[in-house]
Amino acid sequence: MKAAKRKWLAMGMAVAVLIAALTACGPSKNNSSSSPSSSPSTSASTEASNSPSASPESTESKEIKIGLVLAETGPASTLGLSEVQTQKLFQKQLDAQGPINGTKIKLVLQDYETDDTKAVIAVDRLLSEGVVAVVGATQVSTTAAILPKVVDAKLPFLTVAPANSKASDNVFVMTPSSSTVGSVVLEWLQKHNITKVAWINAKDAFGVEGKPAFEELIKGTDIQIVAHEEFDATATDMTVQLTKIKKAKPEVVIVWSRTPGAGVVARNFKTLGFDIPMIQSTAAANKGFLEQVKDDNKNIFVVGSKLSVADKLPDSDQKSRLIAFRDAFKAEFNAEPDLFAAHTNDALSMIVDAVKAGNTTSETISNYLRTSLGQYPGITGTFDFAESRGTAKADGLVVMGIENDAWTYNE
Amino acid sequence: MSKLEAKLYGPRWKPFIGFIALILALPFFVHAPHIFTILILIGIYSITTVGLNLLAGYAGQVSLGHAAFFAIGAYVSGMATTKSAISPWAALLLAMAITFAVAWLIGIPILKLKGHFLALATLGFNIIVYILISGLTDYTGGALGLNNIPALSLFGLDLSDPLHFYYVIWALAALVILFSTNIVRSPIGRLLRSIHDSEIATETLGVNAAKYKVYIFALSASFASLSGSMYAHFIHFIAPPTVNTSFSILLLIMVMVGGSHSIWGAPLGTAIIMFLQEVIRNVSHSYLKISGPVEIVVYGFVIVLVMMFLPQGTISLFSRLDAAFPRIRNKTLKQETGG
Repeated sequence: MKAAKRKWLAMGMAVAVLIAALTACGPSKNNSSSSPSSSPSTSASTEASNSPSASPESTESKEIKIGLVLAETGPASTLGLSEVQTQKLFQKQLDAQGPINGTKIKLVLQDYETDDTKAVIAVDRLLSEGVVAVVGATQVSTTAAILPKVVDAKLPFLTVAPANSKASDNVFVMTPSSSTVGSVVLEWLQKHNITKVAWINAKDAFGVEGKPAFEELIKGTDIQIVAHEEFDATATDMTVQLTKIKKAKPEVVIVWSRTPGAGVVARNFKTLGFDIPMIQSTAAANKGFLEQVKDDNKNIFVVGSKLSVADKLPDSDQKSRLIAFRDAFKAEFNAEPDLFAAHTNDALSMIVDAVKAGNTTSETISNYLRTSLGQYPGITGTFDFAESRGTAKADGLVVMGIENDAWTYNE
Repeated sequence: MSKLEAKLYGPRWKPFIGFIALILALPFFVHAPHIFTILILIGIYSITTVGLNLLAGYAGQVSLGHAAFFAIGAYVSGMATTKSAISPWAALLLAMAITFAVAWLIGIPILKLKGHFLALATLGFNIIVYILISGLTDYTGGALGLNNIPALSLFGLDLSDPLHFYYVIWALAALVILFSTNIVRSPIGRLLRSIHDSEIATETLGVNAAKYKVYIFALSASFASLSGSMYAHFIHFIAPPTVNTSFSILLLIMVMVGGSHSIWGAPLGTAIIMFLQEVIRNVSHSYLKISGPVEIVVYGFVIVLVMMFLPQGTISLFSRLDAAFPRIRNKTLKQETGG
């Protein structure tokens, strides 16, 4: 009797699982306009042109989709969250604005849960929805993982993490490169007459990129790296590495790491009683870092966006642009936007600019970004894709200090 | 004799033919590229889980380090094809040979451990490999990962086309499954089962249990290597986070959910977990508006359910269905004995 009952229960479960699996298999349901008729062997670009949005016949207001692959969850969500928020804010602004030249723009977000393989699946999902451009991914390695797929589909790929822009003409990088950030650090060091630096970085994709770029920059200057240490990106204690650094007697410690690692180093740095400044990369310019170093943050500097200290800037177009974005963001989420929000906003604004100029297919958007965008005044900084598709200029960056647990800036 | 065999191991060709038919038919029904990608990933992971099934289900040795062998495959293939002109297929075989050798060497001391200790040792091995690939930046690309791993081609067939890759990966998976069902039905397979039930009893029969354990460990590792190589050529990119210990655990979950007592449990469990990920995503994000690591909670729940109601894994449902409809079973049995 009992066994029979158990059998039925088990069967019921299996049926439930099967049904659930089948519903997941159906043509993507959160969007009606995917094209289920195309065979899987057809390349993604033909899929994009199959989708109703790209066909010029469709009357009245047509819709184009822009795909975003961001880490809303998982370890990288500390960075991804403000990107996701920016996407939400941007969609709201687009909806309020109404169609642009009769074209509605829909942002399609895919959370890749800080997992490279899932990001690849996410790109496939975006392709089947017929997106005309892809914005992503939160992490450097994930961006590299999805790059071949986006490039193969011939879509413009606006990356919000550093990427190899030489891989294809369709790759546009929204972030300042390690070299650009390094140049801001270098300028600060020279201003303060510091020559002996210690370098510590996380052993992840972002962390390892900084030092080679910086070494390239300091060639021919009197600045030298007197100590170099690395830590695991998920490590929770870096006192060993810092103790070794202390022995080398540097005049400043430069940290190249994402949060939370960046904050752990800063806390350990304080615990060990260093009396020299610490300077952190752009990856620490977020709220998470401020919270990590709360109440004990003297002499800690971070290369961040002028966005964070917009009020203290001299009056300029840039200032009003930054303040407008910051206020909109703050009104929506009651939080300060960071650089990652800026990258996402720049990427989306550029695409909207392209649409405003009458470009609604992936090819024409790409062409527009490459040739007609000119000097684009972004939130991250100025972009000039004719000069380089690999970085934003350094004019959006500044070395910030921390005062009363908030970013501060003294010229 | 064949009747006895069918009783002992279950039908042999029936599931295989059904499996082939399903694989051939699926592309005609599945059109969404992301579902297709998932089907390919299921094929890739199935090769690893079938091997893990041989090890965990048949020989009773739990490995929490299979992601490491997957990594060796992916990285050897990736490094060989991006940094030298070696043929990708030769690189794949080289990777399998290297993995076999590595697994053999570490298997000799590691498999002397039992139960939790064995699981911990394999977990440790996974961490060592993870640290090595993150640290040997000059060779592996370190945390930045290995880029631009080329696509495969087979006799002029371009495997960068997902449909072609799909058929090739599932053909490989079918070969691995066929090979594994042969092992299970061989004297070695019976030995493995007896090691699983009682290692001491097996040794009293004059069998060197350790030798067979190491053998099956190395074989299972080289399957993982094969699937790692295929993964690298499919995604064209590999980075350390893909092969960390949580991937090893996920592989083991796939085997447990599918059923570790049958080779067929492995691909079934892999498919269930992969589609479950999709369902969880859809349901939690689109309908419940929850974001966060919901999967882990659901996995835990699914494992508890499977352990309670289906201790033999989801695959046992098929034999139960078989038992529930005796007429069909008799018919097929008759066919099998007749043929």
